[in-house]
Amino acid sequence: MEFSEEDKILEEVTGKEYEFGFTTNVESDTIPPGLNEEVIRIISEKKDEPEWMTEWRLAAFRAWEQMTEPEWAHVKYTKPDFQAISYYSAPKEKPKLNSLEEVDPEWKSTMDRLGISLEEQKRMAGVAVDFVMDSVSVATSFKEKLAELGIIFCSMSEAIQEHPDLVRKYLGTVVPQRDNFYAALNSAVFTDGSFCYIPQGVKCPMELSTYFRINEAGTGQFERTLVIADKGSYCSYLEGCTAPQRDENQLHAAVVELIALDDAEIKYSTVQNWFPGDKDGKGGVFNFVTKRGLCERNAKISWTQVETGSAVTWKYPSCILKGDNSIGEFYSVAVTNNHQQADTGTKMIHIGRNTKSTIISKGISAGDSQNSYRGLVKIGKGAENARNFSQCDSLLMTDTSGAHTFPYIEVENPSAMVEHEATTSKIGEDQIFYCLQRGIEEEKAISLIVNGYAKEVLNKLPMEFAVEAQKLLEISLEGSVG
Amino acid sequence: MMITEVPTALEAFAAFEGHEHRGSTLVDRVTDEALVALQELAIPNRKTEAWKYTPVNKILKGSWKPAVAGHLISPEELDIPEFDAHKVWLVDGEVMIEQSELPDGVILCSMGEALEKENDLFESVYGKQADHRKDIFVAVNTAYAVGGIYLRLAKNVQLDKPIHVVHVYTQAETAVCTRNIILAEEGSQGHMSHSFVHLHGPIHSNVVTEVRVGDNARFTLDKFQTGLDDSYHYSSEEIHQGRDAVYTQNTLTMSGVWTRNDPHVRLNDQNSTCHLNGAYVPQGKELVDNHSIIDHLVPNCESHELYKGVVYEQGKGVFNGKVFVRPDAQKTNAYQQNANILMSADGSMNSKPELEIYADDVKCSHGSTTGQLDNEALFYLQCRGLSKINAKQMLVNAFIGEVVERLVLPEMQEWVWSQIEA
Amino acid sequence: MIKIKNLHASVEGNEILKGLDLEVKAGEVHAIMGPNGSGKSTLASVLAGKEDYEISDGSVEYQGEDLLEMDADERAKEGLFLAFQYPVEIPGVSNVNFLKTALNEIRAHHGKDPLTAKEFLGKLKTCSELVELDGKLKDRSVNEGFSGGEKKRNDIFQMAMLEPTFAIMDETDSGLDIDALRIVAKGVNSMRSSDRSFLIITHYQRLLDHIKPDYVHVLSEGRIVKSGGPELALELEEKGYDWLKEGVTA
Repeated sequence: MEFSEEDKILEEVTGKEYEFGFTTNVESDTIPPGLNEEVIRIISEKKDEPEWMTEWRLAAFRAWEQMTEPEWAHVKYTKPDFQAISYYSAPKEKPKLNSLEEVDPEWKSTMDRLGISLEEQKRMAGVAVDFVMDSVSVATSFKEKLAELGIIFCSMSEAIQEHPDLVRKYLGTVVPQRDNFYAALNSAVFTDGSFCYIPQGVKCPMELSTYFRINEAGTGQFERTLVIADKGSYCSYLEGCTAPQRDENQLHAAVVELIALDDAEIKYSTVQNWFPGDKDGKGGVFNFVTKRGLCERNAKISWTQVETGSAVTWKYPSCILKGDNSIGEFYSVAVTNNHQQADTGTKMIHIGRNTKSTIISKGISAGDSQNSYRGLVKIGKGAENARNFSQCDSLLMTDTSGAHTFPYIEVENPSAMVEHEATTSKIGEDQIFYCLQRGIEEEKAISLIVNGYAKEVLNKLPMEFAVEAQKLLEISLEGSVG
Repeated sequence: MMITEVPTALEAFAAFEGHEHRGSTLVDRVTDEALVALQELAIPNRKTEAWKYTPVNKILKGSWKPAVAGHLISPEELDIPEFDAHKVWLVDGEVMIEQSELPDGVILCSMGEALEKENDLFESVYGKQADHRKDIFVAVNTAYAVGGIYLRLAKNVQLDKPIHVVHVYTQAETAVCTRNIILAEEGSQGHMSHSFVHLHGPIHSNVVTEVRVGDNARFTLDKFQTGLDDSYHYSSEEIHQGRDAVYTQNTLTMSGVWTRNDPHVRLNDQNSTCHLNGAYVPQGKELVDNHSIIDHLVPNCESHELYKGVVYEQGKGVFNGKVFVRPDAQKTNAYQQNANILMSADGSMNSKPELEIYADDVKCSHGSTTGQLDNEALFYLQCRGLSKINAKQMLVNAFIGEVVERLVLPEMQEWVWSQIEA
Repeated sequence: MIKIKNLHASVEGNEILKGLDLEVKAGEVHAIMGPNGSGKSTLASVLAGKEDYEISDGSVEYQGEDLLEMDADERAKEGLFLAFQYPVEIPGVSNVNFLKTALNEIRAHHGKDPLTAKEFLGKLKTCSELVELDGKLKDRSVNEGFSGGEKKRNDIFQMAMLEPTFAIMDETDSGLDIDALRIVAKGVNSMRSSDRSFLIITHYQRLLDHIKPDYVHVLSEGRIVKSGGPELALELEEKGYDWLKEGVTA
């Protein structure tokens, strides 16, 4: 693939940029913990935001104060103390190490196995990178290419400054401030995120990845992402990476809004490997994300995700099929191991006529984990000829793991066709023995079977991601049959 | 105060007194048991689960006569398919086997002859699989059976051609009960097809077959229920399968005022497989009821059921598929599919899949759909120049085709198509 | 090729093999017959290395090595093949991908390079023609949606592809119709050679009309109670297993 080489270079470059010339316009200080209107105003000021943005945040905050934190029956966690969190701090400087020798060997071996290059590893570990390259020109050439086509891809903060009209027009149109508890919190205090705009009729020629963002900060707690594909345009957006995301921040409440205008298409892929803390799930990451896409006429939005490892995940990428003939798709592989709990799923809301949605969800449960799928297919009154196909499969790798499926199907239009299939299977000892007897050893057998199972979803990922995702699956499931 | 006696089925068959099925000590005993059952078993009504959608009064509260033997028929006048097969005629229950070269080890004769010549084998099966004590229609059959076919395939013997049994009913208002036995011994392979025709109606035709498929043997049974326009047809098969045995049954029901099919399969030993396929097309005011039972008793067995129906006018379809998977039957694979199309708003379909699963390492699935013809497909065909009627027929054929294609021989498939299109 | 001495094996506390002795030399075809429960499948599983079984006594020497010390996949790489009585389904893993992985693992074990795509496809074609496997079968997932007969033919197809030195067939003929039986026999017969041995476990004599064994053994209650040439199978067919029991207890 012609871009993967460039990808790698760019990664090194962005890391280098951070080191070599990332200028922070903000004093490297931290606001004392606590959340109130004052804090919000400070955040806005620090980011030099226009008045309307500050007001928007405040409206969200006021709404949030009225809301109650949701309870989730299937998921147990200690509720974060919102007043104990500090809502703004300077972008973290990663500790500088002198060489990879100083890095935790276990972490390093995982990186090796995922096929992540040494250079990449150095960057992630914060090892001082010394290489001679015209970093600025490489980065610029990409930005130039995108700029030629009129594509805007930058950080949210930058977008608020440089493209306020676009932001103002679309922000909060898919996930309004009042949508839910975490969305409200996010709207009030979001620190940064990605902004992307594809102009009319433009097909973005490369995968847009968060690696490309020049001002890459550490994993933000409250990231806000907005992707707008104008009429007839196309873009494919990649989020995350296979490297384990270890983070001290317990709580992540991100919001992603996708808008596909008439005849446009957005592909949004996520590969996330959250380090689950220790084997008992302590210190793991709590991930509460609101992701939603809105389709206008003839538009299409696909969500593809491969997720492993988070301690608690609450995530339901959704599509609102507002325009006639619009299409929503959701492909997901979710792996849980040890004591993890996942409660994931999707919502497909059919409003326009002749809309179609496809849901393929594959859960893999190992160890003592619990993997739940919760899906809503809602066919509104006016949704003539809506079509939905859902397939929710669970693969159990042990006798103590569990899989639960909660499909909610609400149909208010008689011409709708809704199909739902669910299967549960086990990787049994019989299958492993069969492979052994054909000369395939256990680890390889498991990876053959798991990849065969997840194939349908992995095929939807952009190629480089797919290869990494495959390896990720293999590693997460080592030694788990029993 | 008048004490109204509860009517029993015996009254419907009062004319059969003296015509009971007699033959040997065993046969007599079994017949007597059946007569007792007819006395004691209540006539099913809407509240009887197994007969909820299928009224029985026209038969069990009717008035039937035994057929008078010796009726002559001219085969050419009958609408019977010609298959490349060994042919057997059953005229009002009397067996007439056409001369043909049967391979060694194939014993094909009347039940009467078998009682004599293969007494031990006969008695090891007769009355032991079909339940004449609890099932009222089996009781009727057991008590009043006139004749039937006995087929035994010896060990490792293969039938070169199917055996085609043609049932002919000549006299109106008669009930003809036919009782058959099929024994496929270890390693044997065979195929038997049944077709039906009646000259006058109404008639009650009642066919009960006890089948034993031995270890590693394979047997296919077809029932072409066409040519039965004015009849009340009951047909049940009690099939016991041995180790590694394979049994296939194809039931095509294209005519009949009232038809009830009761295939019951017992998978007695490991690695056996059964396929039950059915297609039914009731029209006018016809009723077709397919009630199947498959019992998985041991591990590693497979069962596949595919039943498809197209209901026209005020026709009525009933499907009930029971599958039992007993606690020891691990690694069972059971698949059941029932799909129906209602061609008119006046037709009706009652479909009930029932899976009772007591083992935990099994793969079982079932599906049931009832709907109308796809309007878009219809429109598409019309846009390509087909008249609405032809377009509908084409879609119906495509739908039913899945079952018809499972018939082993192309000539049989062709014949069934000709009947459907009629 | 393989020497089994006094093999005792049990599962869940029940002893099934009670001192089994058997020797199969290179190039020989041995048939094992016996009533249900005699231990036929246990023998196959134990030789293939299934972990559920406990070996309490005895030894198995395979090509001069201690077979019981090897893991199941190691045995396979050393050329031991088992055609299963109940082949499992592995949905999502295509037959082709599965075979390619297996074949290359075995080759790697012997220090050989993996086959090129062209070589592999050529081999695939030859072997599938041998067992008259429908072209479409290859595109499907391992045994998914296969009938009983198709699963067995698939195992023979795999055997042809993997070219084992010692092939054990566990009731491959059970439930096959006569045509499928002929195909399976054809496949096996074409693979007979001086450096390959077969152990054919069967419940029905019929298979042995098509695959003529060099030796026939009768397994009863966990031990081999009688051995002979092919005529022994015919004798058993006529007289049944009880005849043997009488001979044994005498």
